[in-house]
Amino acid sequence: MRDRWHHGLFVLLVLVQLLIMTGHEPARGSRLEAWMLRAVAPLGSAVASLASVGDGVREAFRTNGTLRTENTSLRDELGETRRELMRLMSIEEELRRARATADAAEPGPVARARAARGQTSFFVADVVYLDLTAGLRTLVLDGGDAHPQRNQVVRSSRGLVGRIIATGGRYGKVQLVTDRASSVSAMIERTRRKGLVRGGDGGLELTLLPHRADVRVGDRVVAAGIDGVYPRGIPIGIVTSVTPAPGLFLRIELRPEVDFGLLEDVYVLTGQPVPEAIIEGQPDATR
Amino acid sequence: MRLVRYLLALAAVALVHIAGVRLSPIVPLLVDPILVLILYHSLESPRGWDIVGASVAGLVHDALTGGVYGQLGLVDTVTAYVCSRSRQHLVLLRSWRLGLFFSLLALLQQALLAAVRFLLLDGVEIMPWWSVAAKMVTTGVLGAMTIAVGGGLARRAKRRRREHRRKPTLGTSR
Repeated sequence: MRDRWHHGLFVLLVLVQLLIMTGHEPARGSRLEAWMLRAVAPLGSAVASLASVGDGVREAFRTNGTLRTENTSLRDELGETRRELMRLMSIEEELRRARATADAAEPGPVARARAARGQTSFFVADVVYLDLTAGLRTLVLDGGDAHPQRNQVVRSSRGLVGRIIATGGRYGKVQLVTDRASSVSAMIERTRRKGLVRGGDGGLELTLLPHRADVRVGDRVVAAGIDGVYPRGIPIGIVTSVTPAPGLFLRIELRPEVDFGLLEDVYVLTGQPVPEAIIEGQPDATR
Repeated sequence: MRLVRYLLALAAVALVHIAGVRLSPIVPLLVDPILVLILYHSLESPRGWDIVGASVAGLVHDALTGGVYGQLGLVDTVTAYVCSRSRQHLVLLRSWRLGLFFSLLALLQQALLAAVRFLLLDGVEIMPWWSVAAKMVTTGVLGAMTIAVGGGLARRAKRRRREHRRKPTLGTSR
């Protein structure tokens, strides 16, 4: 009797399920399905909420871990920077002492011979004024006891700054390479192709390079050393764009190697990079 | 009380199922916790409750999954009925036999589902074989574990009730 009742219930349930299946309209859905969904969907929301809480906790842990790692790394970096700063400060002090010594001493025969061979010596000068209003075109330096002279080349540790165009006692006025009136014989370091670097609107321009010249963005441009003022090899800038211009030459723009806004100390080159052949023929050419 | 317990258990396995889907879309292809509940319920419940519970669970499962509504309800009802009828003729004392029984019922469920989809709902894809195999294994393992844990809990509750009855209470004569 119980078995028969069980069979009957089973058949009834199967029929009901078949009715549900056949009565199902995919476009509308059944009412039963809607009820079931309403009953079950909150479970999905609960899981989603729990998952989002879990994600939040996991994210918090991960962020915490990242911050700890970053903190450790920054502490290490700070320590390294402090050590580097102390080293640089000691070097600066040494340089000051060396400058004082050099200023006190008369140039000896070795220095004179070195200058005669075209090798340059230098002195350190402080930048006391930077002409910002004119677009970083000139600066004024303080040479201390070493009086700067006209046409002396000024450079920084990164590259060419310019040349002294006017002097007044221990001070000198420097025409930056970015000045419109400035021109430096230069060459592409990679290909040794020579041209002329002129000052432009806040930047530099490499001119006199023909269309067939091999120039690429990223090429370094250095002083060519053939103009009788700037020694060979001082970095000037990096090529940022190469565009064909009407006429014979390419239009090449450079980004200066030196960030003029950060200059504090500069090196004033006292020797003149005149070719040896000229020096041999004209001993007075070294001035 | 039995109904409430069953509905709570159903809600719990539905939660597990949803959490599994959220974890990875491949999880429902590997494990079917609702089927485990249906089979456990069919073995442990009195006649009548087994297939009614399976129908409800199947419809809940249908609400969670795609396809034609009612297909899992039908298949789970038949599977629970087979499970319920089989338990009269089988002696399932060892856990590996229980696991095998659950695995075979999982295979039956998948076969029925494939048949329903193939015959009644033309053009619906059939489950991949590896999914069927994985469900057989997981249902077998989970079923055996559930029976073991559930049996242990039931025995403990029975013992506690018996001890409670034996305990003398105040006001009773010796």
